[in-house]
Amino acid sequence: MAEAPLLEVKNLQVQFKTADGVVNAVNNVSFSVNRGETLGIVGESGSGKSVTSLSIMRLIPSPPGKIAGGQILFDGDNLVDFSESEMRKIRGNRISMIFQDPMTSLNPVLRIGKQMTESLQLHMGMTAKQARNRAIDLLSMVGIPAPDKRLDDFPHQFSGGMRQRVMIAMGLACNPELLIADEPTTALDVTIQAQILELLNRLKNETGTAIIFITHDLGVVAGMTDRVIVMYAGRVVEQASTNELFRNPRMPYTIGLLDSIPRLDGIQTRLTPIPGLPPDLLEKTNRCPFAPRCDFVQEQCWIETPSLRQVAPDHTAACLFDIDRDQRQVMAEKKIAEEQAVLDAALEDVLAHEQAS
Amino acid sequence: MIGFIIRRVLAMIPVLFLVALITFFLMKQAKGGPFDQEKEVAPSTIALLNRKFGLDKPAWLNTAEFNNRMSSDGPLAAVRGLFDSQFGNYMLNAVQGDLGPTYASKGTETVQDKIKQTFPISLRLGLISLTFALVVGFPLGILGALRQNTIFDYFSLIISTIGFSVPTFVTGLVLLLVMSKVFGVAPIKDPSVWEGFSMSYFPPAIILGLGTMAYITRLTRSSVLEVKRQDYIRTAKAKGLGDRVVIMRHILRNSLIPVITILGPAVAGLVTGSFIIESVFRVPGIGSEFIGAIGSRDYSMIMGSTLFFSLLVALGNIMVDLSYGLIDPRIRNS
Repeated sequence: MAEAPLLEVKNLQVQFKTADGVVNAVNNVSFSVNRGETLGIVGESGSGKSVTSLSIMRLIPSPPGKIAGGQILFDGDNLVDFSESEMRKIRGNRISMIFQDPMTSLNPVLRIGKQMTESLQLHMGMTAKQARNRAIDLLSMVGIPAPDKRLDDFPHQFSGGMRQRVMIAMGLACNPELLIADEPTTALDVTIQAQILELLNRLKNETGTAIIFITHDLGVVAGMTDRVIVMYAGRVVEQASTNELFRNPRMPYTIGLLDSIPRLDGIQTRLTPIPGLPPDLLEKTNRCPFAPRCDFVQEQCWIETPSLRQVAPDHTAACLFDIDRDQRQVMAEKKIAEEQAVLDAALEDVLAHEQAS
Repeated sequence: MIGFIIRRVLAMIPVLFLVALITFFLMKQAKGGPFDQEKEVAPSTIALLNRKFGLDKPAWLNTAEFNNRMSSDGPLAAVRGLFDSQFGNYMLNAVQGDLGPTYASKGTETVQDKIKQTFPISLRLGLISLTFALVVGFPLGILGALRQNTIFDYFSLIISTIGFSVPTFVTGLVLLLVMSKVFGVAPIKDPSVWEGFSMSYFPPAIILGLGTMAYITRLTRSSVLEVKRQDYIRTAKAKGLGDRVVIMRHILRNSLIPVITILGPAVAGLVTGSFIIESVFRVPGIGSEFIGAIGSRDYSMIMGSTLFFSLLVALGNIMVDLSYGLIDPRIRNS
């Protein structure tokens, strides 16, 4: 590799102590982000994607949460070993974060201007006047009209989309090297979503900030990211460039995800949901965490937890077998055929019965 | 804003009227009269006094006078005659700011004089205890929340549980006992110490404020805990702000909102609570005056001070509603 990655997470392990026992929210997660790159982290609720990102900021509520192992190397420094005050110099300055719900992520009793300038004054040593001017620039950069007037408004005077723009402006205030966007469009309606994604794409190109884009929406990932990791039950189960992942998914879970969203490119396929529920992270097992829901499950899956392995150039997946999407299609068709056969048999039975009587 | 204040002030009128109505009704249910003495008083004397203070008239409606005037002076005068009763005359005078003579003084002192004389003492007492409740309760609650489940939290829990559950006449008597037996401080006999601020206010004020302090502590604690979990606190931390700034700038102001809510009832509580405390500590305030008035059936004093208290509580609630806007911009604009 030509350049050392900006962020390298190695074997990250995050646990939460609960009344029922220790929950392994993040298990042995490793990935890296290069400068200027956009990495997507995809997974369903509870898959550990938010906990991973909060761990990078060292913001997991502790107790009950704790980083139980692994390294988070940011520009060569291990953030896990940083003291709270060292961490504060990183937060909002070199790494910043925007959150899912813009309606609750801004302090309701402080003016937008105050909330925007506080990190500028803290990290960049600006005077109140300089910070205010920078805040005006930032607001116009994210497309908020009359920024000098809006600075004196309170959050409740902004719409949801506008608040997320404010959050993005706040995130970019100190020219961070890494921006973590934790489901930034999930709480917004679809047209606003599109606007916010467009804005993020534009700002990414203008500022060259690396972005970790966390979402459960594969459609968003396709348009936004260079590389994608898929998380399931606190583990990384597949990792590839965005193109490769969408063209050639190799982990049954990813295949399941892709088959459960409609395609817009004209190829009509039957949408197949993934049956079952994500596993309980309390129990410790040796099996593949996806085994109970997997269409391709085999005996070996119940006794061995697969680790990531190379399945194609720059493409890793955590599956013991070489599965690809065509097989899923075949499987699905076979399943439908089987169901049809059972139905036909039943129908014939009924008919035969009627004839006999 | 001004419309809001005017509306709220107008809404006080029916409230005060209802209070007067109920108080008058209850007062009339109590046996005895203002001029009963331990030794027998000549019925003629009582009749004379009753006539002097208009207590010979019917309590609610004077139908006799109504009929009387109806036949002679016409309907308008008759209606006035209908209300030539104890309640009617009292209300007519009260509206004009005259709360009547106190019967205890045999008519030489008016109720408003008595209030003017005794209320400043109760007000000082109430203000000191409110200040105590806020100055101790708020930090104690914050401490309990920020150091949740540590020794500080338990300390604040114990203090507030005691303050909340032990009645003031118990804590008051205990404090009196400790002061006189342990420190040899004699109970205050000289009433002049209550004119203007003096150290003598502190023992009764602290006892008076104990319950409110306990309530504010618990409320602040739960409110800070609630705010601590909010998304915007995570945002503030993600900006790299230090704990002190996060607490002072982001947590405290948001946690104040529910605490402000109870200040109206708390002020009312401090006013009514002072009835007992003023008796225990022999503070010559409006509370002890009120208790005395009930015992001696001093009708105009009972009515006068009840109406005065109601007015205070109503005004206190208006102030609280207005202060929301100062704390929470979402309320200011709507």
